[in-house]
Amino acid sequence: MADIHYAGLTYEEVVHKYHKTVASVCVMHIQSYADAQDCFQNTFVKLYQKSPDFKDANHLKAWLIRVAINECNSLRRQYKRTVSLTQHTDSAIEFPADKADISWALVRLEPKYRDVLYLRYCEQYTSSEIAQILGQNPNTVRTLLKRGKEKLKRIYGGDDDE
Amino acid sequence: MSDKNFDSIKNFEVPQAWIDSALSVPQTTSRKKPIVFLPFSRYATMVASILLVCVLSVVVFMLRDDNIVPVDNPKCTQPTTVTDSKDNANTEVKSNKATNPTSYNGISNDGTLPTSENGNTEPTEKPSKKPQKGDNNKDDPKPTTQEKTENTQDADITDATIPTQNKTEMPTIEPTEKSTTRPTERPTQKPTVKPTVRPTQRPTQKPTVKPTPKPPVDPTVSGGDYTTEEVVTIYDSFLASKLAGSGKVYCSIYSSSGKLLGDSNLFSSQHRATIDYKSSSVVQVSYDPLSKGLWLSAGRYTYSFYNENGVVVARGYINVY
Repeated sequence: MADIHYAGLTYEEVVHKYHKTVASVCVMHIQSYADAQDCFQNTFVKLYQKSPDFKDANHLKAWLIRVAINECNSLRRQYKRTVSLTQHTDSAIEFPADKADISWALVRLEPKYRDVLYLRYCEQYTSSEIAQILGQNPNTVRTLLKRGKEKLKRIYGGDDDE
Repeated sequence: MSDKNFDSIKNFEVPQAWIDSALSVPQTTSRKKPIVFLPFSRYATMVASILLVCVLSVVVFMLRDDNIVPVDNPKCTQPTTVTDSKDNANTEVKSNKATNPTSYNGISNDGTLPTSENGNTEPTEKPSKKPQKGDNNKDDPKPTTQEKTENTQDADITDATIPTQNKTEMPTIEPTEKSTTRPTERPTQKPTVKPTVRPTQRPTQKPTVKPTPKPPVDPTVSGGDYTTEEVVTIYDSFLASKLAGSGKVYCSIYSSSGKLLGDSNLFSSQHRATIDYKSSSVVQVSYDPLSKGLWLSAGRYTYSFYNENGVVVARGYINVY
């Protein structure tokens, strides 16, 4: 354990430092505690198993976000084939319908808009960095950001000039 | 969106159970061995593939090269059929491919040998009455109109080979015209004119001094290609009339520089050739230099078969690689 380092951090340090980021991504994608926990754990399992070489802490964080998104997508695909997520209401995560906190509106967006909006406004990534993390063209990311914002406003009922 | 936020997601309170389960991952899971790729593995693969193809090509080429059999190899020759109208039967004769009719061009039917460039005349058994002694038939292989007319009246091939005063050609084997390709079949048309006049001057005694056959000047008439690894056996055939009663055939081999191989006595046992087949029309002979103690290294050689009287009956060349 002690001999494995990720961008200068041990495994425990990585978990303690980035558990919130990974959990946020999982919760944003899957509004279920049990499934989000699975994705959360699978992300760190992959980190431990793959043990890739990271250039720096930013690289490590971006890698964790990317893996967490992929885990959520694959879990969603599994549920698509088996059972609908709407049926999982027992452990559903509820976001308060606050006027300022529009997390509840974000989770109602399509995943492709959700990811770019989360990375832009929660993790403060630039369009180029988002494009690098998601493996997309920067112009595509900008388009998704613009359209995602419009869709989000339509959901929470905000004005266009906000 | 400046006054909006995503605090609920951003500040999501991660349950301690999630963190504990994540921390317990190293105890529950085993690390996979990382797969390390060689640098420039793609280029190394390309180079290795090209090298493999080259090596395989060379191997295939070498294997194919071993299977190629020389065209003039006597072992690969197909037997040709000589039709004898007198016996009314087909006689299958093993014939060297190289022993095409042009191989007799250098010898006249009257036994006269061609004159070499330095004016030497080969020894003869049957003196020719033809004034131009030593004339090579190769220079004029096409029979004249008169000869063609005479040939239509004779059906005996053996009689036709007896030299006469006015008949010096061998119409049964001579090609009608010069051709660069070797004929596959011998002409089936037999001479029809019986010679009416037998040669008046016929030697009754063997020459006391056996003449020495000269190496042929232009031995491009017969032969074959061999390799130093195989046993070189010279095959040739000629008209039975050329033996002229002689029961032995000798063979002499000359190198490209004109040097005689073997015993200087051309009628020694070392030069004795083997008569493989003998009929009323054709005689087939062979000579195995190796069995006579003659080793042929790589090079071009000329050979000539001659009878006891020193009359050259067949000649040709061989190439040893």
